[in-house]
Amino acid sequence: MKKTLISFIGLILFSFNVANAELHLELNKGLRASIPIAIVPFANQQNNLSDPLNIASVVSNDLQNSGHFKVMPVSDMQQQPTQLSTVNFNYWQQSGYDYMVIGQVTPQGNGTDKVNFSLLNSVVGNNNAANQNNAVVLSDSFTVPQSQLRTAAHKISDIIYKNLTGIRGVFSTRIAYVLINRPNNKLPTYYLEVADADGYNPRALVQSNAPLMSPSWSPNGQEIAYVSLANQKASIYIVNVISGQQRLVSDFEGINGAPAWSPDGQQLAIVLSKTGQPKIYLYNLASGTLKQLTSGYSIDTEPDFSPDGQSIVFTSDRGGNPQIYQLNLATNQITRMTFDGDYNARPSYTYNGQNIVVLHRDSEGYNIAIQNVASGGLNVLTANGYDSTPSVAPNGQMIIYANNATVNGSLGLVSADGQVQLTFPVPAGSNLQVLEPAWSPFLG
Amino acid sequence: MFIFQKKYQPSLIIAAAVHFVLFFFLFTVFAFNSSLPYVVKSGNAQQPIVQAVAVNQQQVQRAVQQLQAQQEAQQRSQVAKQQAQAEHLKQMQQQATAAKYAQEQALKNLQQLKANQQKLQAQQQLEQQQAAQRLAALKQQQTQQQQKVAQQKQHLAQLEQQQQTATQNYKLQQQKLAALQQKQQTMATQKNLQSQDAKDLLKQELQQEQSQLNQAKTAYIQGIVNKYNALVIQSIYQNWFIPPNTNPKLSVKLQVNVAQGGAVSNVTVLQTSGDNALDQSAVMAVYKASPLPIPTKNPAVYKQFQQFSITMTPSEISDVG
Repeated sequence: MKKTLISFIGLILFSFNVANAELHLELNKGLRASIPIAIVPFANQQNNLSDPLNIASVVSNDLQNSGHFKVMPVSDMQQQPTQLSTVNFNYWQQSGYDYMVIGQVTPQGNGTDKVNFSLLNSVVGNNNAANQNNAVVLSDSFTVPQSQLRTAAHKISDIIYKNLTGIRGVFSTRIAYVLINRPNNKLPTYYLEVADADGYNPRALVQSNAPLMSPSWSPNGQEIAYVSLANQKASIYIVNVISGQQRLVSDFEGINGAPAWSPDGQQLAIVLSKTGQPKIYLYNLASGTLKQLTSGYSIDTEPDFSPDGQSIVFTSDRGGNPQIYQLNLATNQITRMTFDGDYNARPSYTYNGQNIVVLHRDSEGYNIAIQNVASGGLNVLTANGYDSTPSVAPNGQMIIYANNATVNGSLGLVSADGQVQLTFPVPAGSNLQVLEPAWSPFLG
Repeated sequence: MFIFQKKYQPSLIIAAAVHFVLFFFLFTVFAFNSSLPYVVKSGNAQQPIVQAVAVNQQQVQRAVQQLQAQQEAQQRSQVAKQQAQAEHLKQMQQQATAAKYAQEQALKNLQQLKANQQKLQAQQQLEQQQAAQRLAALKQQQTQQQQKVAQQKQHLAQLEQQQQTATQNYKLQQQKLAALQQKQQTMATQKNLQSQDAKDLLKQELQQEQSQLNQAKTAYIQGIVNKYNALVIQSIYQNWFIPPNTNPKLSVKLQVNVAQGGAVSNVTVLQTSGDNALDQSAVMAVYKASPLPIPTKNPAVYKQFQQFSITMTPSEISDVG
């Protein structure tokens, strides 16, 4: 009986094996390369943007600057199809562009435009000449006011980037920075500016005759806390990004500086010197209550919350020179984090809390560095020697910083692996100086 | 034994000098003392004093003045001489100091030079070492690569050999079978009176031969398949651009349909990695590898590749140059 059963099972297994004798392969290695993509100019796009830049070039610029894409120059395109039916996939695959984007802009009257676009896989398209619909990776459309076609273009970039890299794009985020205008023989004017993530559409949110410093975005992206010396001393204000309304939040005796929002937006970590040396405090925005977090004779400043809200990193000279320390908010335990070099300051966490970005000084001067929290390994990313105030993009892929090598200063971008280095466009002028960039969280 | 020791030398010299000086003084003082009373005696004895005083007062004064002048001149010249000597000494000292300083400076410079040279040498050595290390690492990489290539070649050669053996075996079996079939035919046509046993035996023999042939055929096909497996994997690898920040532990399983000639007709995800971008990159890699390097002549082998599955894991990522 037992024998029969076994042979029966054996028979089943055997027949199963025969029926599924399909070939199976294993591949466990691949290549690191930029994704080749062509953004074909959209139909009718020229009609709608007075700006010389059009939708396709905004998207091209976004993807190229991310460092993850190799974007085809428009001048190389011998064909510029705008409909799926007219795409010759063979040409695009032969040109080496695995992916392509086509689209159309259609005016809807009353000042709005409909924007359609499709992300196409030219390789699949070339292999499926019979059914070109197989080549469509995704399609989408939006109707937007004509003034916001640029916003629509950034949205398209976000969708493509997310689909092909698996990472959420930051093309629709914003950058805040401090702009100083120093006209000859006149007192300077300070502006808190907010611009798109590609530097376009800059506008002044706050204007003051007194210095403005340390902008910090609220987690929902609707407010910015900053420091103003308008009252002859450093005080902390909050400005609403949409309405421009300002309110004074911290005006204690001495310095009120370096505000940083808690991830829930309920509290600000701030620096007060009311007891002598600058120390870190927790300020509850709703109740106005204050809790001192650090004490002693050292200077403690530049706090930043971990993404889980469990701890705060800050700069302190308690060890003799400026280094980064971590404060566990539950246990109040303070641990030193940086040991590389005799100067590390201005810490901020990346979105996943796995790394901190710092300002690092060594024989090469002041540069931006990234440190792995778990391993403690520090990697210097820039080599300008005059860098300051790093701020990390909400997807952790890029860092914006101020480069003070010239009197006017400039804003630089560097990828988290140091491979991509770019200059962020800001209003230029011999009397203008740019400082202290701050990257917004994801918006909307 | 009495031995001069070096540390007594200065004291001995001083003692000798003191003796000499004392002797000199003794001698000169004695001479002076002995002449003085002699001179006074002779002066007192002769010439009337008053007259001489009146007459010679002026002469004496002149003489005294002359003497004084002489003495003063002598003194002055002596002072001048001394001053000149002092000046000379001072100059000599200054020169000596300057020389010494120059020497020290030269020594210092030399030391500095030496130190710099040493530093330079150390740096050069370090650089050389680093260069050597880099070279060694590069060489090692190269050797590894060569080894890998050699291994792959060997593997391919093995497969080739296996295939050849299988082919030979297959052909042999085919020949045998043909011979057997012919034998059966001739026997059938001869319509000899045969015993049932002989017929059965022949049938059994034929069956056995057929199964052996089938085995040989399978091995033969398998040999070819193994060879082309490696080629297909290689061509997909060369087209797989892995998205940034991908978890190397994820894997995606695809089903690939291939048309005659190796063109990829369809790729479907059998088992997602959970990362859409990774899945998509894998699908793209297979399409880009089209047409796949598969055998087109042998229908039995093509049948194996007509539909196959592949599991792709980005555990090893190489940079594209």
